[in-house]
Amino acid sequence: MSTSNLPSLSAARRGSPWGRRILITATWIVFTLFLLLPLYIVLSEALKEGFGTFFSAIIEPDALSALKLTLIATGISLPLNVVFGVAAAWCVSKYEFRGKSILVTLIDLPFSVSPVIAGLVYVLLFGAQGLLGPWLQDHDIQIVFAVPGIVLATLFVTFPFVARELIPLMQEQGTQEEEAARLLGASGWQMFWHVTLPNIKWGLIYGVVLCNARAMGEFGAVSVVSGHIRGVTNTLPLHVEILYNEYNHVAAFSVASLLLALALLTLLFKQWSESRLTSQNSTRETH
Amino acid sequence: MSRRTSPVIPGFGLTLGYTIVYLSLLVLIPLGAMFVHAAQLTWDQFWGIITAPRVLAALRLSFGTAFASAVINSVIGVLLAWVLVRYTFPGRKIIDAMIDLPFALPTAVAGIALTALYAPAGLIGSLLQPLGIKIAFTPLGITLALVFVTLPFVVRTVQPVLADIPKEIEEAAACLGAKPLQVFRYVLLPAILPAWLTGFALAFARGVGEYGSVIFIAGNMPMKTEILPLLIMVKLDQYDYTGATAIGVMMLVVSFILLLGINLLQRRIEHP
Amino acid sequence: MSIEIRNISKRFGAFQALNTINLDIQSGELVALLGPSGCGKTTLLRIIAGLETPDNGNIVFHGEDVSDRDVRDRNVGFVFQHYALFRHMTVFDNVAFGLRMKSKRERPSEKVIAEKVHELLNMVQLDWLADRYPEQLSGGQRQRIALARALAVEPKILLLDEPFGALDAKVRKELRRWLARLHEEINLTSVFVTHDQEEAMEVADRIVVMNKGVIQQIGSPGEVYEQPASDFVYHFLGDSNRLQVNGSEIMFRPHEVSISREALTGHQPAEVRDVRPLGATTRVTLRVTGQDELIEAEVIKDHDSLIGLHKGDALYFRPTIG
Repeated sequence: MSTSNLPSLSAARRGSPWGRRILITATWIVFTLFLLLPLYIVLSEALKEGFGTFFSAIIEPDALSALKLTLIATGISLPLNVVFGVAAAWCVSKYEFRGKSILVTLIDLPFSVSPVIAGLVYVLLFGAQGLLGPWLQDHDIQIVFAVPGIVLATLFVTFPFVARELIPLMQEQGTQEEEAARLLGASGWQMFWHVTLPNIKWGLIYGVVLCNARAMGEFGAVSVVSGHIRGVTNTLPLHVEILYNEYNHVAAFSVASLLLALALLTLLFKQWSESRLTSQNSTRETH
Repeated sequence: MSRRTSPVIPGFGLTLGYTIVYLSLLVLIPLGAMFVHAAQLTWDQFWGIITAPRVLAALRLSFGTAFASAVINSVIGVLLAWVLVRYTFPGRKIIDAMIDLPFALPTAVAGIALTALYAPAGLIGSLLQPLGIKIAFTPLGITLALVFVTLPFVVRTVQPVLADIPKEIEEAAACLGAKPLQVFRYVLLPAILPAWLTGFALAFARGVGEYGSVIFIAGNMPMKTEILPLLIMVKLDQYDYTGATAIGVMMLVVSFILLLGINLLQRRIEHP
Repeated sequence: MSIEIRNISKRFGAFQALNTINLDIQSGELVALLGPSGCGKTTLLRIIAGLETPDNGNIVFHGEDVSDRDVRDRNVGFVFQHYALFRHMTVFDNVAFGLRMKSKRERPSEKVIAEKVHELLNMVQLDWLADRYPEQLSGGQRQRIALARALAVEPKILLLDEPFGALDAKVRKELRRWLARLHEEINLTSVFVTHDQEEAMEVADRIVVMNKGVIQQIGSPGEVYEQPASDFVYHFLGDSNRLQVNGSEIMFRPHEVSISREALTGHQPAEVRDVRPLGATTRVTLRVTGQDELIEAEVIKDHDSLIGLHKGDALYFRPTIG
């Protein structure tokens, strides 16, 4: 029933008005303390010395190169994880096979692995002392402490996002529409483009938005493999750390506010795609 | 809803193959490499590394603060989920949307923001200092940072379950004479308990491994405020790859056992 | 325990769900609230229970005004349309719930509770399911468990919202006969909501026909069927035909018709559009010149006129009323 999501005024559910007031107040306190204040402090620290200092911290060459590297790492890992996410969701949701639940668990694995360990495993594999280290050195390939390492670490930590959004969505949608498309003579790709993709569109966008936010903001994993070479292997979050540790707080918070803007944009996008997703689902149910 | 294998839908081999290859290359083989690396150690060497006083102190700190923050978030999370599902009030939509901020905000930004707030000279820290309460650079600060980054987990797992409980269930309980607190204790709580535990486990696992938001506020003093992921970093900086690996393996194994335990508990609750 | 409903009105936004409802229900009666969906019958039931607060009016139980009394303290049994069983509790725990929620002073010992629960489960003939969970039960079983749960707190009034609505046809018939017998045995005042006139006729002592938030008619099943107070009641309580005769309209039920292959006096000609055996009776659909609406006639299956009757044949009919 569509009304069940709305707060009900039924007599049995209403409860005492005082309890209600106390709980809402507590919610506001938590919200202010944990969400609003951190937001406020980033902006106020960034603008402490005026807009001039703020902008110069952002357009300073090291900051720009960090931005560039962040965009490169995101630009590579995002499409790869989208393709993977769709493929994984497809085989998990449309078919039954042995070991499926293990596969789903493994897909979620990067979420429960510390980002530092995510960086560590690549150092152990590709680093100078690593398993493939000598071979890579012989062929003059640098992965750790270079851009490829950063991309790999980003891929690892953002790995499950798209798949995780799509699997429950596609499982719920079932296979009937795809079967109908096939019966009407569609080829495999036609079925995917014209039936499946439009159905999962909003869930996909939702996953992409979350994946993007994490890719741009990842700190721990990237920190391990980057080597912190200023202007070369620094991403934006790493740049924030360097500035902060140099006690250049205003610059650190200025760059941080850029990332904060990204986070707020992400929330906006997320809210939007989520509302599209629920409206799509509710029209499905009523038809 | 048909969920059986459908012979007319193509792409099974392709997508499954791609999934397994990609998963193996990116996640399984690298993780395996860590275990291979650890296997070069004898058991005594391994045990020696992970029982060193500094490692044990970090272990206690990491798991302790992660546990504490998950407990705190269990309470805050259910409160937020309840208020967002049950009440309409001005600002509800904004709060609902902002709950996910800790997921969207880069952890380093969260770290420096919380430090700026809770450091002795900070906005809140300066208020607490006269009272003798120190937050930044103590385990309390680490817990606080973890509460922030894992805040959405419990809310987002409990919220949909709470919203899906039909109102008739509570009405039925009320007709049978149950008071509001009894309805919550005996009817709603058992219904949301599995989701609650899931949220707790997710928050706990994330808390154990969290790095970016913690290192700024922690102070990073060995034996006092040094978390496990930081210790791995320290070992790496000293080119002690074996030490880093041993700690990494231990973290994974302990987290895995704890999550398995929570999973089993959850199953017992759902199917007693 | 008697129920008096006095001047009850209820609005949801712009929608007038109930408009000045007055109804007296005698102690021990089994009353059906009958009407189409949206007529306000469920709202009225929920107001009696205390689940909904009326805008105006009073509810009186056995001479005592309970309007301001909380649902918890009204001591009514309520069976929900989809049963609302607690899914994480066994059948036993579901039925025991109401007894266990009582305050320490009133709460019976676990031993007494167990006896009482088994007694109720035996009454609904499902004692063997005590350790199962609701999801392991069939619809009919859930229904009876929901009833046992409602009866556990020994209510004086039992309210049922579409009690058979979610069941398949066969189970529904069995259960409603069982419910009518049960009502006889345990001397309760019962009110149930239904949109199914057959159900109301078969189970209830009295039927309250409602439409658009007002009561259309109150009466025994025989009265509302034989002497409908309005066209609405007439149509709602059974299939009906409308026939234009000399510019005026007469209404009659499918069985209130005489058919013949010959042009008898008073019979008018029609064309057979369909012949459909329904078991004990056979339904003949007729087309009459001068109106689009088809006429349905139901006659016993071995009626003479039916022998060799086919679509397209001519047939003569006459309503046997008025």
